[in-house]
Amino acid sequence: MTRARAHALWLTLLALLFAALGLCYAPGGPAPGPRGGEVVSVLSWLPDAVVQAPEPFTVGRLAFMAFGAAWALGVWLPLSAWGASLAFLAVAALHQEARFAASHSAHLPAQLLVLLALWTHHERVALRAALAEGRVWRTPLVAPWFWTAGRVLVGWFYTLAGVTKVMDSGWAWANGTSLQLWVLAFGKRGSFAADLIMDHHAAALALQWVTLLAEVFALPLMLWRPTRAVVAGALVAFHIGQWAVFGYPFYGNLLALALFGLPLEAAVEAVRRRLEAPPSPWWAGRARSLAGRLRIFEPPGDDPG
Amino acid sequence: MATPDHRNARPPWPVVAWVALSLGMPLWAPECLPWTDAALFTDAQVRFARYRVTDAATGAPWAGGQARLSPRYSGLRGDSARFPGPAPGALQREAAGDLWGVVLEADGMQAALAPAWARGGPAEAAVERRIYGRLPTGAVGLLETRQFHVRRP
Repeated sequence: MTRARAHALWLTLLALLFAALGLCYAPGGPAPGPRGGEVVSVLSWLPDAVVQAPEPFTVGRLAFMAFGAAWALGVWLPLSAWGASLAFLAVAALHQEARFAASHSAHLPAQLLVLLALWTHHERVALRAALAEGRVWRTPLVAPWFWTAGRVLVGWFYTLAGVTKVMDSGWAWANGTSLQLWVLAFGKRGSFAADLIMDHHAAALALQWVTLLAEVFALPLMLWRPTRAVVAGALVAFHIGQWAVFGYPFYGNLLALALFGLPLEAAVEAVRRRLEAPPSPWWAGRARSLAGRLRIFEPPGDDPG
Repeated sequence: MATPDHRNARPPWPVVAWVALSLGMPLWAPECLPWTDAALFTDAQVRFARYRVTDAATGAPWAGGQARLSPRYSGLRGDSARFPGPAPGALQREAAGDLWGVVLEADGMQAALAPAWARGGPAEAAVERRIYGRLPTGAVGLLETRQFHVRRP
């Protein structure tokens, strides 16, 4: 069992905090009238007057910003991590309680922020020491269980979304028509992707099938290494298309898929090595090779002749 | 890049609990799940209507009427669970199940606009209704445009 360095994770944490900050300011005013009786969030017990007032949102957002900034800077650990995670959970729950349209883009970031807070708490001693000595990027701090837990959360999120579609609507959900109508109702007409969907039923059908299959089987495919990047790539493409056509930005989900599904860790490690390597212009290798052949830099005493 | 560590063998119990909590959500919190518009747009025979409401006397857009008829939808878990029944100006799935989007005639428009009228508005509203659906070519597009007037009840 080996541990990985925390650079990709830490970069993702920073980006996730920014994404979560945007989600805290998701548009949509409070819905009028009394709420129904069903439990839809951890704050369902709050009275209508509280969830529909602006003050709890303001307090939650300010708390998130303060704790999130501290977490990003590596101070007050692990208190800052818990504060930011719980403040985000509270704001997302208030949104769920007070708005007509639930923000699906907050679910996965909320789950992952809690997982990151758990990791921060578990590694708090080593993390504080590494931060104090400026070696957090070089210290192996991320245990394998972190990756597995994250992949389960990400995979389960999408599998639930896919299975729900099939349970509620059957496989006919991916009939192409639904996507065409959705683009018509809510999409940005005139873009290449929107026009492709509207003008070609087969394209809409194919996009929906790929999305539905990637969602339904996301959990096993995320856990199996050979298929991980494939399913993550398909879901990343789905979110980018969704963003382009409908303007629904799932920043947090994109970050989660990149961290747990795509080889982000290897990419960041390659960049780090490149940055830490001594400067080496393109001609340096050729110059060394030429110098070796011509024995330019060889000391005189080495010449056997 | 990586080193062996005895702490790697198993995850701490709070992590296990958090993952288990997430896996168990369908059992203990079905309404909190990431339902993603699963119930929408499943039928091949579809029509939906869009409306533009103006003051019949001046031709100016009636903001209250527009807001009342903004394309909201109901029938979603999570979204509608807190606010059962159609959202303002809802696009509802009709009982027949084959249609989504309400195609309202004059009396239906009058009822739909009644709450907005209660807060003011023109004595008579001009409504332009556009019905979208499947075209013979297979694409989805505009099927019909109709205009009619509705008086304040």
